[in-house]
Amino acid sequence: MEKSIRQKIREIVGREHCSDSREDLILYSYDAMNRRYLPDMVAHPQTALEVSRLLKLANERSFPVVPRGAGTGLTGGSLAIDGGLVLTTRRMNRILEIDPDSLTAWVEPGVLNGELQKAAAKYSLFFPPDPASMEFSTLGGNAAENAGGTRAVKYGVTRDYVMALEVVMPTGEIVHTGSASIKSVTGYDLTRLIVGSEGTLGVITRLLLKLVPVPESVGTMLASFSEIQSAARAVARIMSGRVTPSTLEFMDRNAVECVKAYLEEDIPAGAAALLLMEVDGSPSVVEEDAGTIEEACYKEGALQVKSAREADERASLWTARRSLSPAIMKIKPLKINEDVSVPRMKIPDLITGIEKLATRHRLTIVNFGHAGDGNVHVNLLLDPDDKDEVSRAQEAVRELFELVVSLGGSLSGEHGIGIAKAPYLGIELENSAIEVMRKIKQALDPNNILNPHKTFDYAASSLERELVHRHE
Amino acid sequence: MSEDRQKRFGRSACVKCGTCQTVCPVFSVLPEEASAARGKLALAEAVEQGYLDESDAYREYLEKCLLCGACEEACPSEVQTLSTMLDARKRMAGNVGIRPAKRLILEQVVGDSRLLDLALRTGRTFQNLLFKRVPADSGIRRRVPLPLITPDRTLPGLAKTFFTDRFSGQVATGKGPRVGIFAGCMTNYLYPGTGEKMIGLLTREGVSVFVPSEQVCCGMPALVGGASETARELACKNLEAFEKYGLDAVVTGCASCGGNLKENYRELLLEAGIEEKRTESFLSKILDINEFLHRIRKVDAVREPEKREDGDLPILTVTYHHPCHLGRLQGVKDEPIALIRSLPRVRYVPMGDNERCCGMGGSFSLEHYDISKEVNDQKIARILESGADAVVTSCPACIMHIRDGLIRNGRGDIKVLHMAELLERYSLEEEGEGGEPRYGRMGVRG
Ligand SMILES: Cc1cc2nc3c(=O)[nH]c(=O)nc-3n(C[C@H](O)[C@H](O)[C@H](O)COP(=O)(O)OP(=O)(O)OC[C@H]3O[C@@H](n4cnc5c(N)ncnc54)[C@H](O)[C@@H]3O)c2cc1C
Ligand code: SF4
Ligand code: SF4
Repeated sequence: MEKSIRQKIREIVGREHCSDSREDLILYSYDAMNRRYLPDMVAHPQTALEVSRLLKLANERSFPVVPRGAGTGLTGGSLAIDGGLVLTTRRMNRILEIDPDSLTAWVEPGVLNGELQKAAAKYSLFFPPDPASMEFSTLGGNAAENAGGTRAVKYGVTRDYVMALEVVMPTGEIVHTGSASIKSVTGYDLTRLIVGSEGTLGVITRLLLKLVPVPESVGTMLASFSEIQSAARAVARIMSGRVTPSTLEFMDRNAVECVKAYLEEDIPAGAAALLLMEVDGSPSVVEEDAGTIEEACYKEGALQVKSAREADERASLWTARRSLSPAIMKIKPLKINEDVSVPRMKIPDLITGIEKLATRHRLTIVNFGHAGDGNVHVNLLLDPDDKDEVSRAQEAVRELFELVVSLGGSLSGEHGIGIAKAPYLGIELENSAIEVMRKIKQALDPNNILNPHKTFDYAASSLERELVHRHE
Repeated sequence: MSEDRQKRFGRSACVKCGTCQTVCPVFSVLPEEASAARGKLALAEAVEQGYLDESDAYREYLEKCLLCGACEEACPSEVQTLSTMLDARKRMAGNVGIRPAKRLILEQVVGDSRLLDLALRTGRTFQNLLFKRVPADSGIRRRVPLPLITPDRTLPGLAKTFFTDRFSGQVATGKGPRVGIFAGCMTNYLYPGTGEKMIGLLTREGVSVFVPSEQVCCGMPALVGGASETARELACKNLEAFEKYGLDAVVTGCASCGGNLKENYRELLLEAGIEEKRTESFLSKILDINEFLHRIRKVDAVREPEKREDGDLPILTVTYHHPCHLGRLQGVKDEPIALIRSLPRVRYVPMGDNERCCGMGGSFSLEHYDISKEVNDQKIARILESGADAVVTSCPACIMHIRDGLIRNGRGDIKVLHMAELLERYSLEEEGEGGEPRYGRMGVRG
């Protein structure tokens, strides 16, 4: 990046709010995908106007701009794979307004999801999207990745709670999308286009979010099954009934093995699948719904169903699910986590297919996730020093995606495509659909400035920019 | 995909998930990538792999850390951030040198116990010129501009008589085990009263109490400052000082010293060429005062007594702050609470975030008082919310910082007590007939 460009960036955001020191570039070279690409500069603008001026400069002088929230993305969305400017939302971190009457909140994109939850709780409201990273990821990042969480089965994902946006387009225009009114069909739905666009179509600088009243009470249940098939049938029975649980998580045999050490008390011997479920509403509704769910589980052969209403008992039922990620890390040094999703009814087929895949490629695969919405976290565990195992895993991942698509599913339920899954895009999407997306990108970002090569064209050639290569 | 990370970037276990940001006190005040463990580890890795030099900026980023360990506890991948930070600091000290003034202090003054003693004795004389006493024996404030010490900060004055001046050798004889007191610098030079209370408490438990006069600084400041040679020398001196008394236990009232003795001495002593058996024997005797009393009093067997007033000693409502170096580092969390609950004239009320760092972080509070102060304000808010009349803790460093924070927040009326002080004062009546300790004695190492 030329000196004069750096100087201009300093003028726009202020000298103290940008840096090109080697230390700072390293600090913004990674996200939770855990790869490293050094940007040429990092800037922390505070207003949409500053963002706009940065993008206009980028178009004039031709350098890439990569938006970044908290850098907890798992697919490399905020990595500067072609260098350029990393633009963080760190200083756009105000909750501008919470309106308890209209159940909405205006926020800036750098506000953490958890901070909004805390502020909304004062009005007995909550923001339903609850990614596991909610305490440390930003609302801008949640919107850009269309993040989901355990409550998605009843409440939906981030997309369902974004009513309006202020967006700086790749060419620098500041645009307002959506409306504060619930019904609005004026023009194309640009809000939905931007949500989930992984920072490739615009920089979100303000969001109008929908909030929901905190339910009066919550009931939690942990059901154990001797095989995944009966658990899956229980899910089908529950979902086709009258009750919509607010959480419906499952763990397969390997996952149960992983967490057994943490909770011998709560699961019976012979358990090979677990369902963790919640229902919320008025106390009487919770009682009734919990009863219906318990019955459904027993009808499908549950070994045991534990039920809790009080906060601490409920927390103890969650232990299994909460301790899973750390427990998995202990089996092997490296885990590849693919968050595929299939139509809910296909979960048993998916699990059976994955078990076959694991046997064929001699791999340990642990599956768990959101049974209620068909979003399964497939964890391939490996030892990075075992070259053969690594290449078997790579092959298995491709086959997994093919399996998922053959079941009518999707490569990613919530983590996005970024660079991690871009090479596989064609497995799921037909060429004509990719072409439409490419045209949209071209129309909005003719100079390919904003987060280039994410989602579609990330190719192996970009690897050259990885830190290790650049400085060898 | 991430499989190539290990190949390329070595075996750093940090997967850059960001979870540590939720618990890092520094990050809560300064929400920048460099503040929490993730950023610090990324920088340390880059240095290790040769992509970054150990620049001043690097050092500054790394030093903005309380070494509180909250990140380690929260990390799903069990990344050992503290040892990585200590290694990085050691490396820096070796390669580019500790900042000259700091090095001089660490090696020449702290390293040589007589010099440190002299420096502090001289300091005591000049203290009145430099500092003014603030009311209610709460401490001193600076009179003239001094480097690193801001005018709004209240520090304890140097003691008129240092602890090891008043007590040395065998100070009490009892039928119980032979117990040595490791005072630590803060107790010795700033809070000798705490040491005195410990002697009183231990004496009443019927143990023989020793204060080896040759004991020196535990070496923690030297170690975190990267001066490992000095740390090794100090470790050896302490081993020798305590060994000669044939002790059953070495008890300390300083969480930081205790943590250092338990966690770092093995490596330091072995590196210094002390044989393993000798090292292990010394290490096996080290106990925090809370652990020691909890064992010897068999507190678990004591039912929480009904709380009652007693003449001039009304019921005191206290809350407890877990020092990072005792709770997290040594895992001593239940003992102090059980001890407090066992006192008949003390009511215990919990404090929110009671395991969160008070913001002191050793020399961190000198170099980054602004951040330290803000972290401390969070602690003070939790103390006030608890409604306690006094906050009890087990580390002189926390005591100093919390007292400063309460005064800064206009709540100097809330007392800050060391556990030894509380127990000494409020377990008076536990003495049975004729001064015989009520509690049976047992093997010290439980
Ligand atoms: C431990 C852990 C658990 C997780 N659990 C979940 C989960 O349960 N569900 C889930 O969905 N995800 C989960 N994630 C993934 C991740 O947290 C989410 O994708 C999150 O939404 C990313 O937010 P961020 O602020 O970190 O964004 P970043 O990682 O900084 O950025 C993500 C993408 O958004 C873009 N972006 C960021 N801010 C803006 C903006 N203001 N305007 C335009 N584009 C922007 C970036 O360019 C990038 O492409 C998890 C991650 C971790 C590490
Ligand atoms: S230190 Fe642990 S918690 Fe922090 S980013 Fe690394 S792996 Fe995650
Ligand atoms: S030790 Fe404490 S201050 Fe240092 S990085 Fe970890 S949590 Fe933050």
